[in-house]
Amino acid sequence: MRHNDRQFIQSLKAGIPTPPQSYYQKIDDTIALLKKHDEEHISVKTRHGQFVSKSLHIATACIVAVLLFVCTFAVKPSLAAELPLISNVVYALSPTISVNAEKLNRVSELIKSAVMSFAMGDYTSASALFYEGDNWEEDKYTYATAKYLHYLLHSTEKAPGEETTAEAVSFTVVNANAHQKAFRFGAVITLELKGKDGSTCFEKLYCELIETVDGLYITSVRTESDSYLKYITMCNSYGLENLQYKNLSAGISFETEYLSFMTVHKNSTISTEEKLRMLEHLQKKFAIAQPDGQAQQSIIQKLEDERAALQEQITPAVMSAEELAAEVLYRYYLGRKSGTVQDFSDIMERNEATNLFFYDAQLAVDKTLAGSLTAFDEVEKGTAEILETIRSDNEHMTARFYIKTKITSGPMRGVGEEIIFTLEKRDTCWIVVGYDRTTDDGVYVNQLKPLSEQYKKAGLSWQEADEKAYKELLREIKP
Amino acid sequence: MHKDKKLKWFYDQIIELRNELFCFAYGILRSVPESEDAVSNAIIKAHTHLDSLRNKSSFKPWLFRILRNECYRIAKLQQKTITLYDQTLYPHKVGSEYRVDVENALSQLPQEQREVITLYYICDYSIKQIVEILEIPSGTVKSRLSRARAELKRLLGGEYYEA
Repeated sequence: MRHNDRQFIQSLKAGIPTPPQSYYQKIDDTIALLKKHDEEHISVKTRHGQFVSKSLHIATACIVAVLLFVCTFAVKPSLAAELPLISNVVYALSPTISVNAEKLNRVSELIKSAVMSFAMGDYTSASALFYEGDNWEEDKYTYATAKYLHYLLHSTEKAPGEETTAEAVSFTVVNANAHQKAFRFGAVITLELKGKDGSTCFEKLYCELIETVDGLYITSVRTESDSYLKYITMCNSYGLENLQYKNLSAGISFETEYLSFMTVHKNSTISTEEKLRMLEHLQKKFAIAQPDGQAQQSIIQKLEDERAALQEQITPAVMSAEELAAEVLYRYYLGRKSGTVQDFSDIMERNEATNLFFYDAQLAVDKTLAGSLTAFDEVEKGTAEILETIRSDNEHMTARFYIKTKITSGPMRGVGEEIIFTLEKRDTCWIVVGYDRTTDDGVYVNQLKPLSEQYKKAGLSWQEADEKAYKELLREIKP
Repeated sequence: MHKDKKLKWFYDQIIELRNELFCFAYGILRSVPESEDAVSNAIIKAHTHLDSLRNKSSFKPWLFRILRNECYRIAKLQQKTITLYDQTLYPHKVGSEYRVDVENALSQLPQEQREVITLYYICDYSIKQIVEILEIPSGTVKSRLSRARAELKRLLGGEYYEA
């Protein structure tokens, strides 16, 4: 570089003033300001960074927990079944799926076992199959179904007080469907119930189940068949709704027997004494069942009313002499109508003085059955009046009665007859102890009585003579 | 580079370049207060955009570009017109018997020539460095230098300069 150049450069440099102190101060101040800003920025970023880092850690942990939760309960929803809140979440998030064959089979067998237990009245075994255990009857549908199944298989098979047989029926699953949502199942099972007599019926059962870590349990069983609905209507009509029992087994058994009695046995041909025995058994069983509910007093009263009505049949109301006479002839003609000699044991003593009446009644039935006497369409108890009192005191009476029984067809229609009754008062009731006819042209006056007299004179006893006379007349219609 | 280290390096560079920065700013603005402001502002802007700097090696030209823009921003705000001939400064005819000192002569150069003169002669930057700062071709740098020298020669009466 030449001297002039160097000079030029120096001149140029001289043209630029030296930076004043204010400049250096300004630069220092600027740098200090920037450094302070850096510190604050880093602090915020650090706190922010730490916050973000912590938040990230927490979020990650939550996500992992949720994933673990989802995976665990998706694979094994039964684990959540009894966990509060979690069970609701798992249930809400789970889809509804069809169950596989193996599980469907488990469900079907479980329900079949419950139905069998109900049918046999084995509620201890039933309790083991239900999630609520001994409290299974708190589900009203299950309770009603249990009673229905017991009735279905035990009604009319036995009278109250008779023992049941356990091998009365068999059960077969004929159709099964089920779906699952988390740990809960819904199933529809159709069972064929086959009775010992070969009769069959089908019941479609709607069931709910739950699967926990302890296993698969039923929570509810119900049926909606027409037969079940009729049963419920019947229960309500006999005042059995709203009844609960402390002794559940006795209670359900009572209801079956009670309904059987009221619908079948009460109006059957079994004797009144037998019906009274059934009622007495029902009353005892009702007490053993320890009923609870408003309806229990109603049932107690119903049973008492039934007992009273039956008792009245055994101990007839006190009849007057006229009513008794009319009753004797009413039963006589009722025998001709029904073809069976009626029971007179409660109103008439069979003795020497009445023996021929019984043969007369028998012969009348024999002739009706043989066609030699007209059968009657309708017979009703008629009226009687005393024509003549032959002998009478507080406890004895002999009188001629005129009796007109209501017969709506045949030659006896509208005809009255005279009969001499001898009555004796026993307790408060009149009993017939003597019977005789002296007028009319019937079998008794014209044939039976003369023959018997003839055989008595021949030396036969009154029993032998009366019987021989009857048999002789019987040969006439049955050679 | 770690943020803290980068910032420390930045401040060290500022301290090292602060004289050159002032010279360059003064070369454009011709005012001490304005030059102080320009450099201070440029430092702040460089600090703000420090993350955009990829290489340490390009820090100087990058910083000077920021300063240059800041200088012209301030000049515009001050509505200062930097012309070749400032009659207020030079009431006498250029090239006349009145000698114009160097500072005044520099003031009369166009800003583009004054830049290259300042960077080349006062800040002692090479053509290559000036190319990086001004982002113009080297030929342009050289031609501006040549014209600036010629102008200065004319303004200064040829006594100090020979092309």
